[in-house]
Amino acid sequence: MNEPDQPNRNSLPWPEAAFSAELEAAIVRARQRVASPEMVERLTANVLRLTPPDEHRSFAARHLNTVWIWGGAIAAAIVLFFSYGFRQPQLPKVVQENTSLSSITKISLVRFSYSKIDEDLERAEAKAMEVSEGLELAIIRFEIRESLERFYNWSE
Amino acid sequence: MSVSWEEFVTKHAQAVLDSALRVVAIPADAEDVAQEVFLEIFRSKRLSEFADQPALIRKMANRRALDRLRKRKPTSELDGRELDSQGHDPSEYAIAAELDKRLRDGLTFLPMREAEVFCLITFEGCSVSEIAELLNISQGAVAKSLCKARGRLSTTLGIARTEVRQ
Repeated sequence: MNEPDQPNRNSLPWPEAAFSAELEAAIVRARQRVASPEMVERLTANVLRLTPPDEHRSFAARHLNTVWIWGGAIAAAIVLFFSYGFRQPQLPKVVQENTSLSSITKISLVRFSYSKIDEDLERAEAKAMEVSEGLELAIIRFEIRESLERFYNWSE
Repeated sequence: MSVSWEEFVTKHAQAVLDSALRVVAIPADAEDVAQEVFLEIFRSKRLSEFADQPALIRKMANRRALDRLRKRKPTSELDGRELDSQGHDPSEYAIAAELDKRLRDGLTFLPMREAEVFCLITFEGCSVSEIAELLNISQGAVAKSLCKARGRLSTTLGIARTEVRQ
């Protein structure tokens, strides 16, 4: 019987006498057992059939869209913060100190303070609209313009 | 490294099947084991990690095959024996077949770590350092497990050889 080829055992304290030639041959027979191409083909087909096709893509490919969406959202938030956040004009102090006030009250306060201290119509209107936070803008615009016009008429 | 699932399965199918077949010896069982291994990898969603470490896949295949071997009920393979025995002395062939079976039975009685180390070294040809890294143990522990496994198998199979000779 041929001496079986030994794998790399890295100079172990190997008990060479422990196995008989027949048993070594049994190990070699087991080592030489290989799958047929038909088996490989069948296995590949089975595995691919059992795993959903849309998840065959790699992790990165599957999450690429999510990464783009989140990346875009974060970039947009950063751009908005730097372009708008730093340039936001200070609200009148009375408004800042009364955060619990309703939006309508805040608008009234802003309108009052800006119309008194600043005669610029557009600025007062824009500031009031900004604070309105989604209320009916058309009505507010109308009211502001009307009140400021009254103020101008009165002042003239 | 980005690799598609199809590429991964195609590339490693042969190696996984071979590893499983060396331990369980029955093709149908080897296919089941290989399928389990691939499904486990698929569910783990760590494809790129496995793609870089073929030895890790072989280790998984070996472990699942040993599990299968332990759970297996006593069976007898009907296909292929007559064809395989062509050109050999029938008595020698019968003894060899019996020893093959005893070898696999002997593996089921080994502690899992010893069986795993034995299979990876003798069947897969892995180096001791490679196994130490795979199993996260020292090289000394690998050598010790291997010597113990060989000792136990030698006792089991020595008795078996005497029996089949009689």
